Amino acid sequence: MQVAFDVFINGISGVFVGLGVLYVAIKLNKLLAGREVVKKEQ
Amino acid sequence: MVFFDNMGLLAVTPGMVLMWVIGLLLVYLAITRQYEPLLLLPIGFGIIITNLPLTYLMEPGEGLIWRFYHYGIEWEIIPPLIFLGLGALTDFGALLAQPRLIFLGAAAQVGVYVTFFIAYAMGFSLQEAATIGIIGGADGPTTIYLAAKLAPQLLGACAVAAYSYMALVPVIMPPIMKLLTTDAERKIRMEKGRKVTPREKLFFPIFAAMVIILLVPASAPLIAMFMLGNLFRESKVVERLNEVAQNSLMNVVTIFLGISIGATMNAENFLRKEVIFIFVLGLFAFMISTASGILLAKLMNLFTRNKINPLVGAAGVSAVPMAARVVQKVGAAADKKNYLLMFAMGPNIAGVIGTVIAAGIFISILK
Amino acid sequence: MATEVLVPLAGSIWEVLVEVGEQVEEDDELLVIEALKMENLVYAPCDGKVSEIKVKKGDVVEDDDVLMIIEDA
Repeated sequence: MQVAFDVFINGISGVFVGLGVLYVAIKLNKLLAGREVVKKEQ
Repeated sequence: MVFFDNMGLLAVTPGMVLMWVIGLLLVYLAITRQYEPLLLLPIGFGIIITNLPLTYLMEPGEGLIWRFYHYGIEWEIIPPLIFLGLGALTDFGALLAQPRLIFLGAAAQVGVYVTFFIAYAMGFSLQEAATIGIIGGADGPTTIYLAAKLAPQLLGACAVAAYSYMALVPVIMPPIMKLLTTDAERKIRMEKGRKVTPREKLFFPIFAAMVIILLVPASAPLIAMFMLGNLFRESKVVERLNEVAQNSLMNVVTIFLGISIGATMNAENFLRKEVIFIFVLGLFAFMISTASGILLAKLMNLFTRNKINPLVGAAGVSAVPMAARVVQKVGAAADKKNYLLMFAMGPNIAGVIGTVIAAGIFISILK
Repeated sequence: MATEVLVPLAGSIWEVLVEVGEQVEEDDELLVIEALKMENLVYAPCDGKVSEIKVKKGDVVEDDDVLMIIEDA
């Protein structure tokens, strides 16, 4: 039961951490590459 | 006479006949109701074929379909190739425009782990429980991939459960969505996200592959192929590869996938009471995943001014794009001028990635 | 006063259901946009007369493109 509980906790937190880091990566990506549209309008 | 002794007819068991009926039922549903026909049709036929006696089609080392199964699924080649095609088919624009919706795709994995826990408590082994739980992620190739690694004996049942429930998304999800949301919430119109630049879309698959694989190395086979396919798409310079990945290659491997899965379902493997539990638990996982996505959206609304329509949370169940379509329909039923489809695609795709991460975590702990 | 009808979600025009000069009421069906193999109806934002239609069947449209213009009578 201990193992199952570990998997449960690790799993749910792991998924949130994983996608959370992806969230940060998307934000960074926006800083790096998200400005093209503005340039065109200038 | 030797001919009569070798005749299959004499070796037919009642279990086999029952499996023929199940196989025919899947073929019937695939054709008349168009329930995931690309998979359920070959799976159904595979079930019928594998339950004809004395064919040795699944005989290790010699059977034809055993070879498809062994080299395609046991060697873990087909699910990643399908992910390559899915990557080439996926437009991450919706996700990049509204990154906060990514968390709804994470919430929908709660059903996976709740179901895992319950399945384990019911007496399944840890590996089997993980395979059953992942049905709640509503992602066929990931379910098959995990089953082949952790619990091959459940592969057929789990795959059929996952694909059947994906086909039933329009039936399973709306009651839960209506139960958990008020009419006013269903009418929330969301603010459009910003425009995403082509360069962002180009960088994303490379970035995302590195980040996710660094965190969960066990997810590498699926994520790497998924993001490679997407890079084909967004790079715009390998249109030939992009086209092959999403069409011909995907169609070819789907054939071998379907027939092999069907062929794993022989009578003694499938006609056990555990299989009924798998179907019940799989449905339960789907329902919890739908609910947890909606509930997280409602929770996020407590802290943000730019409100999220909680229906969109239900699309965290990754069945792409059926779950997003259902969100659009339920939303439009409350307010016909509300267009949630594109908003729902964000959590929908995040759900796919979330399910792969969940599978990766299962593999790294339980393998 | 002229009101622009904007694209509510990106996709391709499946069918245009009204003609130039036609009188429409708020919430009348104007056209169908196909996105993700799903047909989505676009409704009139106000009463008035269709004075211009800027798209035709098969056109690919982006978010917030102008679909048609409705003149108040």
